[in-house]
Amino acid sequence: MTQTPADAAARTGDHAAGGNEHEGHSHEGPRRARVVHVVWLVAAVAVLIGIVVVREWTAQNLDAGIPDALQDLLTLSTSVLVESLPFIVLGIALSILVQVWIPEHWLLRILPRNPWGRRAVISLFGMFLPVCECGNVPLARGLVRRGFTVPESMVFLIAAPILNPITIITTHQAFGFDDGILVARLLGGFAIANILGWLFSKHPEPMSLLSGRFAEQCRLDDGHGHSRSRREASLDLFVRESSILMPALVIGALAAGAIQVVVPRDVLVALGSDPLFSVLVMMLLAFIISVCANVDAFFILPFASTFLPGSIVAFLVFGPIVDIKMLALMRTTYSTRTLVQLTTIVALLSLTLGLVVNYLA
Amino acid sequence: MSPTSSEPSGLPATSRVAAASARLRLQRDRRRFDRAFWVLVAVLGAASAVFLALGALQGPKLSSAIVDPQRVTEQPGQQLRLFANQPLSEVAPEQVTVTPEVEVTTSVQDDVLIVQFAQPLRAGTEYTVEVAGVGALSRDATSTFRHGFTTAEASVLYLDRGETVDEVLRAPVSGTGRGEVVLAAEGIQHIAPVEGVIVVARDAPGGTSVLEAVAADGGVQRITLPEGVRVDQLIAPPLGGLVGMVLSTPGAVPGDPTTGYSRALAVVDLVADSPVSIVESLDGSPIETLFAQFLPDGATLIAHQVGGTLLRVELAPAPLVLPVGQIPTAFGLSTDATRLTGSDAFGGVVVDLETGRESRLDPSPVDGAFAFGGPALLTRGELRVQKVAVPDPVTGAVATLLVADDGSGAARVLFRTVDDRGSLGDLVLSANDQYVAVEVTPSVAEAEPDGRPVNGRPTSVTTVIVDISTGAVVRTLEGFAPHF
Repeated sequence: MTQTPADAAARTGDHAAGGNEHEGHSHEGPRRARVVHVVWLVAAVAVLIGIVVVREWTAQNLDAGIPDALQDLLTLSTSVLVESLPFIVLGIALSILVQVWIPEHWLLRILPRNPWGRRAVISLFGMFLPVCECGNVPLARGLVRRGFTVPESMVFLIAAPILNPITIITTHQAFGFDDGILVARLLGGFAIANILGWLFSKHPEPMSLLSGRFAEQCRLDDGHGHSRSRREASLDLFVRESSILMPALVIGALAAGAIQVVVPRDVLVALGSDPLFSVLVMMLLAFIISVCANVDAFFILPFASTFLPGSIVAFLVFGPIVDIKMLALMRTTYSTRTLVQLTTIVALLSLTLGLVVNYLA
Repeated sequence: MSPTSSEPSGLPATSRVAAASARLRLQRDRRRFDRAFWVLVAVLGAASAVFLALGALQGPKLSSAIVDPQRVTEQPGQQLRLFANQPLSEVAPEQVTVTPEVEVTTSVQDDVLIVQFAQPLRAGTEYTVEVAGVGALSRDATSTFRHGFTTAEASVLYLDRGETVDEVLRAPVSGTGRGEVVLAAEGIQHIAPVEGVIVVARDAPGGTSVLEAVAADGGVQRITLPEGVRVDQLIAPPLGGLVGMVLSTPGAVPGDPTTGYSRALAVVDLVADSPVSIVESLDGSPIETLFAQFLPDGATLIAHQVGGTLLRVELAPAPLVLPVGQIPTAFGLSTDATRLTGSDAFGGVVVDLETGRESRLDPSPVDGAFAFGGPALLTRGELRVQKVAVPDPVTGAVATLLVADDGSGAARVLFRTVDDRGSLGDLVLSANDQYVAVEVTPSVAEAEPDGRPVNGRPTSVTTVIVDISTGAVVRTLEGFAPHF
């Protein structure tokens, strides 16, 4: 049986284990923690607004002597922020809905007991929760807190950006059924999610897959959820999740913008004119540009005549799961070792899928 | 204090064993996970390597192909676009084999190989295009692209006049029956198919005409003509929404504008929904027109003016009239619209519209017998289709024949009426030079006029469609005014 955070907490015999006894059983600790969360949230929002304002100012003062590279960095980072922010907020809202307002047994009752069937059903959750990958991070965190196993949360996190109606529609509009790109994307996303779910379900200590901070929060949640009203819990969750994810988003957006400035896109495109390397190049491009799964098909459409179909598929499968912004966001939830393993498997599966499509299409 | 002394008897050893066992189990499970991870990595790495190698040995592949099976039979320069799975290197026309053989040019745009057909293809024909040695930009491996397609069947629109109601029908060139009625109305004088609608001139009181555009769904739009005019000719464009026409006021005296229009050239833009306008010559008077036909752009007319002047009339943006030659009688434009056939006192003439140069059009003997040349239409090549009169050296009777003549010295008979009792009327070539449609009166002696005041025909008039290459009559339809 796979271990859930609740199981892990129960196994410790004390929800406040690990030096958090004070936080777990007094009111002073949570209050202080909330203040810290608010500070982080305000700081992240301030930086976010600062980036947008400075970008706007530089756009209107082109002769102000701002280096082109800095302007590009601001523009690219702003585009990632603007594109991702609504989904982050939506994802947090859905996460609160799942954690606070939907009874736990509703979610768990619809899932098959068989682990493969259970993971297969979870990988289709995105059909009903059409949020892009940034928004799925808080949602996946919510599922873990709601009793899902860590591998199951990964299955959702990986499959949902690809197997959701908006992504399917936009990919179909961009490519139709040409070269099997749409079908390969959907099947690939499903397969990668379930293979990773299977792999991590083999892990003997699922809680060790989580980041220390998030694992700790899971343990704390189990001790406090019953004592608050739903409104208080919702507000608390919103502040906490925002304070964790917003800084990650800002850092991820800045990193994605910076790398795009350092590695110009046309260099990648030039490298990708060799069909054999095009799959790798497209995965690298997806990693760097960090565009949302809901719109990435339109982004890559102009490249469709230059790159092999398999490389387009690799872009569309790899990007929604692993990119700079997502790594920053996922780091709030999973340990570094887990992310390295996840990235390795996703990269190899995307590469294989791309090469298979190239061979068959 | 020793650890054992503080515990109840028996527990320390058990818990130590249990803890050690749990530790061992955990270590074993960790090793299993690590093994599963590395095995998965190895399997995926191997699979990637295999497909990488297979891909390297593989040439470009044909993903899909697009060709318009209708337009490719109607217009030159139509393209077959072959979509590859990767950017392609250049392809020379010599690498392309088309069956049946046609002339092509090639070009490459990223992953699209474009095969352009120099001339329209034959209708209802299965073509196979094979491109050998197609290479990618950065690989040595090549492959062969092969694509087959069947061109659309040709069809003909024609007018069949009845006792009370006239019908416009569309019939496929191959087949039986009358075809499908697309329009029925009283007193149809002329028809012209234009971009999804059929323009119809119909009888109106006083020997005049009304002009209507009839949509595919049956909707009728009245087109306003100048007051009290008759439509003598409707000129259908090959593309676009401009319709040409020749208008006359019943009773008007030629050369006297005060009595009304006399074969005045006019035009209407159906797309712009503008009224019919009279095209004026350089001196501002209407152009008295014997015959007019559109060039392929659908915006320029070649008009044959009363008096023999050939005019080039550019209709857009504002009408511009330029003389291009002089010829007493005009028959029609060649299929590629570069030449015009006609005749003068010495026989047939071909006028090159680009240079204005004239050349003689002498008919070849038919079965060794001398032939007198009549109206002729030129195909894109050297071949022409011509009505000729061949006298019988014994009886002296003259037979009217339709012949195909490539100028090699012997014409080939395409059609003649039974016992040579009939006559041949207007000729129309299909856009791909595959078919000729000719109006036929089967028996001149028994012919009865249909009694129509405008554009009358014998009641027995039929349209015969002949395959020019084989000389086979592929369809006979009761009616006239064929449009491919």
